Amino acid sequence: MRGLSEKVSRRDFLKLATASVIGLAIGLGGGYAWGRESSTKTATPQTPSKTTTSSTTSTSLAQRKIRALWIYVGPIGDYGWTKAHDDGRKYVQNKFGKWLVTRYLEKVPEDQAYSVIKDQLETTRYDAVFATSWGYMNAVKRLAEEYPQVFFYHCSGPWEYFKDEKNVTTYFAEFYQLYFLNGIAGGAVTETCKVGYVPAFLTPEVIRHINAFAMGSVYGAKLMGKCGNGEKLEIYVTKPLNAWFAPSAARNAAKMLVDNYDVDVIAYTEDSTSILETAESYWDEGKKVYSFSHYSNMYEYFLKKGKKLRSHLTGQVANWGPIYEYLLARLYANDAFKEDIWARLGDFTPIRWKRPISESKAGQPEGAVYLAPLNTKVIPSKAIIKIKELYEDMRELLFEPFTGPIWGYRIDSEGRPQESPKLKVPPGVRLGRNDLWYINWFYEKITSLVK
Amino acid sequence: MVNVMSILTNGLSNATPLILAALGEMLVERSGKVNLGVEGMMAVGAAAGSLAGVKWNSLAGSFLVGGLSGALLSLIYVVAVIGLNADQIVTGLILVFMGIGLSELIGIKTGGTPGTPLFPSLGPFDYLEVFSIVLAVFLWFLLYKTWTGVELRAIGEDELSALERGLRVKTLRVISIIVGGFLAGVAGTYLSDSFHYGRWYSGITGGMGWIAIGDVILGYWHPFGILISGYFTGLLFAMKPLLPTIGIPAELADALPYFLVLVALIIVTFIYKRLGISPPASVWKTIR
Repeated sequence: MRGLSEKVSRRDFLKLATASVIGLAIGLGGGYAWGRESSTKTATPQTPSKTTTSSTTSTSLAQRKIRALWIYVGPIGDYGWTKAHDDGRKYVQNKFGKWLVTRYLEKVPEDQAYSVIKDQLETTRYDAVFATSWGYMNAVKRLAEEYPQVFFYHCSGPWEYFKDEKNVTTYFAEFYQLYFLNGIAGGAVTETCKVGYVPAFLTPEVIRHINAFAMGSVYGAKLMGKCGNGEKLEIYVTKPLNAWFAPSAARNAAKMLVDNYDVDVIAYTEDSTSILETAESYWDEGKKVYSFSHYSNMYEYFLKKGKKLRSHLTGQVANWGPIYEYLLARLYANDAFKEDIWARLGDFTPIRWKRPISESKAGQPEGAVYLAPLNTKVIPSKAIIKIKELYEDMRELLFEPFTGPIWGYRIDSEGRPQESPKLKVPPGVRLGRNDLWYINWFYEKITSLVK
Repeated sequence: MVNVMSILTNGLSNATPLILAALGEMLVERSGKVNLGVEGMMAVGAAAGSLAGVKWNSLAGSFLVGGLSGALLSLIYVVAVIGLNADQIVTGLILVFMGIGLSELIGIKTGGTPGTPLFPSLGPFDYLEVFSIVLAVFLWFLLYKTWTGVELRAIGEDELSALERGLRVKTLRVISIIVGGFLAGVAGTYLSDSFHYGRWYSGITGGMGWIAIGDVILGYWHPFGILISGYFTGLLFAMKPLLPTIGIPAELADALPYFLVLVALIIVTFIYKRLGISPPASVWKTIR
């Protein structure tokens, strides 16, 4: 037998190489065309999906119509971030159908947002544009200057960035309070005294969620008098996935936490049901592993599919509907002004003052952010009562997770510690919005799994 | 804190799609052709399998549809390469991109909805893991212990002589290619059904098809060799999340398995050359 190299003559090699290049070009073109076609089925940047027709009943008065455009970064079927926004859009559509026309564009890449939105604004009249991804910030800032008659709403961006744009409102649904309550549930049920967190990125938003979850789990363990009153509780944070949607990497990270670190409660920031399902799969092997809902009520979702989750403890859910309702009502009333909405517990509820525990709606839909159903079979009643009590207190901001003294250490973008623990929040001090919005340190009890 | 047992079992589960796809590709290469479209067939299998799972809520149906969709795509290869004598490399590459595009087209219908019932397990192993090992044994028997196997290998070694001897060159080739497509489709379905609980998502294959082709070479076109090489790469993937915890830079950890496969290929190819052994002779040649 001879070696391969002896058999391929120069001519053959050239033929092969040329063929590969041509193939690559044809294949790329073909594949791209196929791929484009698939995405245009559901949304074409040039012709957005129209979801409502103008009301058929003729009105004598020149009725004022508001036309609003939603820009989504993902597909509306992602069962996470984008779907939650689209549910909010549908909510206002149903509510304000008489005078509101909504359209949406999905899967709009962040670097193309400017030209895609501009195309829309050039061809159709819009009164409002909702840009629902952090990466649309630059595009929104430029467009707001070019189209002063349009009101822009940017989700998750800091209001400081749009300081000079009068027609840009920023809004966000904040979860850190709910993560603290998740933590209590987790700390109360852990049998191994080890909990874990899988972050998508280590942005300030995720960092404050991790810290809140970690402090909550210590609180929960202490409450139940286990894990050395919370002293011996171990909290592991994995390497960030570096993607908001990464089911495969999320699953692997969750498996690593369970298999190698004996973790039995996993919180996460990732836009799919992957980690919850991974936790559920361990039950089939006779291992109790718990996780949470993220952005939507995943327990209910699986129940509808005929699957009763054993791994679901509770979780954080966002309802953008009330926020959109408020913003559009103002716009319709010609009373829109620049503002910054940072919806926490109690916001967008009719009466925000605390209720007695027996009437607490913790675990039920209310307002813009709320707790997913509490797993009362597993979470001890003592912890349930505490969760409800704090939930009610938080609605009035009577209880704040980030209250000093809190020790922590600064981290880099992958979670590596950059210093030894220092006092980050002095005793008695509560962190305000600015400190939370730019937080860059881990709570001292957290072990980062990136060395 | 390294749980060796869990890495070993996770390794097998990560290796299963690789082994399945690589065994299919091995058959194709043994018959004297190279189908580089494995990645595309896997992508289509993942999407079609997931769609069938969501529609019918059946795991078996999901795998069947996933496999058939891979086989269907490989028919394009059959028509182009066997029927019309098109260049096999070009056709394979077109298959890759066509498959990825088709995968988007089909996958968008489920849009990431988790569909099929949770993947059942047989103790620490699941059905497909066991199946991939059984399949390797079966293919070994087929290739080395039956007359059909001798015929198949002969086609791959010397097509002209095989033709002169009146062996069924085209028939066996077409069957191998279609079976290869079916197995790639099943491997793709395994990605969505086992790893992601029935959920398809954009870019689900993530280069697994290419790694599978690498595994064919690493395993020296032999069913048992492929079991070993597939398991080795599966282990690399299973260890991926652990790498940052043992001090490997997090930025590097994601790329490391791919890189190590490349290094292994270089080393193994060097060894093959030294030993004077070569792939099935007509693999890289086109004889009309």
